Amino acid sequence: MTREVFIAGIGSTVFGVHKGTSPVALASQAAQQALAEARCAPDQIGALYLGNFVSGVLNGQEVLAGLVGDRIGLGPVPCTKVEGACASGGIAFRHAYLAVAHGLCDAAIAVGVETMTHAATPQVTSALNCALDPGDDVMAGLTFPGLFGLIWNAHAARYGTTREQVAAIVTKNKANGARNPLAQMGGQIGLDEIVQAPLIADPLRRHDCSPISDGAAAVVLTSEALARRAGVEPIRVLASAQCRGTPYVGGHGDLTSFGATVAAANRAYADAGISARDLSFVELHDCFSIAEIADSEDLGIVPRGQGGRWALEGRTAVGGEMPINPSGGLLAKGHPVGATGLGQVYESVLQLRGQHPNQVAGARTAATHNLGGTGVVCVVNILQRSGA
Amino acid sequence: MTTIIECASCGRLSLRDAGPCPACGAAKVTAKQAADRGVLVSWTVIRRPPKNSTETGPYTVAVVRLGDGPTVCGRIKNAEFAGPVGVALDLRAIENGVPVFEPARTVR
Repeated sequence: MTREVFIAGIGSTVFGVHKGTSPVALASQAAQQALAEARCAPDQIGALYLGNFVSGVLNGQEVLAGLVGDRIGLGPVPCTKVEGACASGGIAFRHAYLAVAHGLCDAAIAVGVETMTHAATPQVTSALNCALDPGDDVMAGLTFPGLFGLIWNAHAARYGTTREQVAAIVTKNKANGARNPLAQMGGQIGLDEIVQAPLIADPLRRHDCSPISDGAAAVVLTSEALARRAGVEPIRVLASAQCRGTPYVGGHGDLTSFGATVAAANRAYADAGISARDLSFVELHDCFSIAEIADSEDLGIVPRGQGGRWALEGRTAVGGEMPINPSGGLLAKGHPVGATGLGQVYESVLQLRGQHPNQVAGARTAATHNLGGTGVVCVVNILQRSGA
Repeated sequence: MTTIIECASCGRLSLRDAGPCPACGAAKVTAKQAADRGVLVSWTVIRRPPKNSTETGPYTVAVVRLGDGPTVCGRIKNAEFAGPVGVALDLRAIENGVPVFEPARTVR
């Protein structure tokens, strides 16, 4: 038997450039903010899970979980780093959820952090390539922009998805980012500017790619009794599902879809007892513009093949029938990889409390979607207003 | 036809004529035959290679379905290939473990 789990507090740094700030300092800042909101003393926390992907490669620094636990004054409790490429933060959230749901402790904290901007772009590309399967993909010279270039061309060939439709994702998410004070970037950007930017991996151009970012986010998960004592409206976790997909490109039966997303979404909807149409909005893993199209179709919030058309028609904008990434998403808010999954939860909680700077009217139920590697891992969480 | 290997340990099918398995490193593999003509599943031109690459780009990475055989990730000889998806490709060589394809020139 499991029990209900609530989000009692959230914290986040700005996503962007934090040159000279260590990952431990950034993570601790977010964690302390989450603890303060939850009115949770450090000695009430029974476990810490930390999501991080490339600190070892880019900073030469590991054991971040224990270092952060020490910095924020936790007791001698288990502090564990989890890694699943860009889904590391989502995995940390799920483990903290499981610890409370199964009664291992009454309060757990999930923290995600990454510092990347001090490194040159080719160095970051190499570090992220650690998430590729060691077989053909690496040997052929694939990169992550390259993977999504493959997905774009496959999607365009099958469904007729156009450059203009994919650009609509960029325009929407950069406009949303401009309304989010935690976002790395945002503003008005149109088709002309998007198609004039340099190619990165055909057909992806610069604005189709999420930026390189520093940042941290944290979430305190508690039992219902502890959540009622928090200083903020508790948000109910209806489900937290994690699934594995194929680790290599040739293993994808269909390059326009990630099997791990489909599996995690189906599991999360079943566990939550809802369907995709019950969602008020979604924060999903738009590491590249085309990813938002594939993800939205895999999550079942947009009909198969119509992700691009829906974006161009404004149906996924704030105020549309299925708002996607009101935070600005990874494209504008930024993508500090180990923090991203928890950043999505942070943004969704603010929406469900009715306190987001880019508020979706009447937000009641949300999904977050965090994808790692070439689709080898996916976490989907379903969150709901506790009064709903 | 071309030779592919099936890994006895992880089961991966790879386009090469001998072990070890490029995915898991296992030495024990079984050689099989597969078509050397395939269909282009998708392609991209990499213009920003990773730091550990010896290449500066651009180069074309392609996903190719080999007849009834495996789907493999390799290269197309044209560095700035422009599609389309679905075109027939012939395996020309395996260079440093990487299958290299070219658009099929003749109908067989």
